[in-house]
Amino acid sequence: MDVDLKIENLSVYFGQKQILDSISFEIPARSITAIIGPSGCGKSTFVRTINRMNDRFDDFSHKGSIIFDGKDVLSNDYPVEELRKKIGMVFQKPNPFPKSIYENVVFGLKIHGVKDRKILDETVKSSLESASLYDQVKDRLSMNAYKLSGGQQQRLCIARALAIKPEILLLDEPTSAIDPLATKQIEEVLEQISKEITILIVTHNIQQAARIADYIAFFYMGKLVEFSKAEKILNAPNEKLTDDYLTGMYG
Amino acid sequence: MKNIIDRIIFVSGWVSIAIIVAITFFLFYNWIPLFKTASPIEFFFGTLWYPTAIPPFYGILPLLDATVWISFLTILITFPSAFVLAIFITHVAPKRLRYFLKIFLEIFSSVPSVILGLIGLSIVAPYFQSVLNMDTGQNILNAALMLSLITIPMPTSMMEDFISAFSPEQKEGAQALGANEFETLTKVIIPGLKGPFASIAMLSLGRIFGETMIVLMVAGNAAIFPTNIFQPARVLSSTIAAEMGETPVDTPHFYALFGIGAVLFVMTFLINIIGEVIRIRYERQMMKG
Repeated sequence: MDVDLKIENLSVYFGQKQILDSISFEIPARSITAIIGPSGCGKSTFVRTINRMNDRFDDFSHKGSIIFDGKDVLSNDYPVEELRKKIGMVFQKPNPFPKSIYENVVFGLKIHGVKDRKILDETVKSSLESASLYDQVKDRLSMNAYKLSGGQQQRLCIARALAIKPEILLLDEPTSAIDPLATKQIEEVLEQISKEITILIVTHNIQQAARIADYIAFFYMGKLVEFSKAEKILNAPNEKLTDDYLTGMYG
Repeated sequence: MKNIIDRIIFVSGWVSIAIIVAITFFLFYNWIPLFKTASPIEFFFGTLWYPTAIPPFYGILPLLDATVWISFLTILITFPSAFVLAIFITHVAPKRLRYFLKIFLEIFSSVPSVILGLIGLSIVAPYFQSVLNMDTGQNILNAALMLSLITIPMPTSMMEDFISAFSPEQKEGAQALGANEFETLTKVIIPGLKGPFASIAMLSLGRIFGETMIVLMVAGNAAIFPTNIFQPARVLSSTIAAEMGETPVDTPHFYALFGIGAVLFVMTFLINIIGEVIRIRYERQMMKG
């Protein structure tokens, strides 16, 4: 099993409040790892810590490390822009820019200095294809992205993240704001791209985890209760806490 | 109780509309008799404003021309300054300073304009004349500078609000793609705020148009067609303030001053409407998602 990210004893604090408590596990490469757990268990904070989205909060602090390519991404020496080039993110609410579909997809490339029109065009096509959006929008790439439906917007955000060829894609409850049909399409997209990219998805939906995840991490009150292959967690969890959550005792 | 409050709101709403209608009516009512003496063409396109000469001339074109010169020079100074200041407050200044700057701006915007007129008159004008060797220190440039000082706080504060309140989701979206703070500002926030900024420019222009005291004090008050910004000029609003006190009621001069008032009113009204239309358009565009 290839390991892509190694979480070592990670604790996260906002001010005095501890959000994550000594999390340690290894995220396998080119597979889908789902993070599940009740609201407020720290799952969103966890993924946002990986690509350092939490840096902008003044009261954020951490202990422990996240090792990626042999380096600790949380150390101040690691350039955050480089990190985000390799670890992309899709958010809970679709957040396209109020620009054309084309400009949305090439945004990251342009930021990273790609100007060659041919490369941009090709990337737009391949990224939109990976997000299975290309056929629906190929004739109107110059249309404002705001005119797309919610599900299409979210797939555009996935395409936008894929355009800079990340090695890992983080998704923070990406389907919680869109309808079931669009959810299904996004799940298919994720399964498809997980052949090449490591996917870490936060979900409050156990069925979703069951449908797409290869591995599941169960968080509870800021602690990692259990991490294992998806079938193992879903059918025969080691911890009673996990079992209670899965059977709907709380959450 | 709710009924009474409803009624108060209803009545005050209609009263304010009625007052605006009454003002409009009043302005036009006192303007129309002018046309017995001077035709609308003479009024709008006449190149001479000598209302007390014999025979009198009631052409507002030089005043209109000066208003346009001063307003545009002012907005040319105001808008970029406000923009830079707003970015300084939101992105450059340390967090503690931000708070004080914002308060300072709000206080500064409430300084009476007559004080800036005084500064323009007693400090800037002599400086222009003696140090920079201008023919007169009371000129378009001086007026535009003083007008900018009084106007800048309002658009700065509005821009600052828009930049700070800019969609955090979009900011995070850009940052998650590797954009740094500066790229997020220039490639996402500023392009996303074109509509509001255009609307802020119009609102500032509306305020500049109506500002009377400063221009009256420092623009030099010569009703001529300026050819450069170092010449004196007289604008619409200060003409009313300068002449109304010495004008007998119900004379053509009196009617002409009301005409100027009506023109100013319509112009400010139009500018504000354009600003509103831009704002509403922008909001509708943003709502489509």
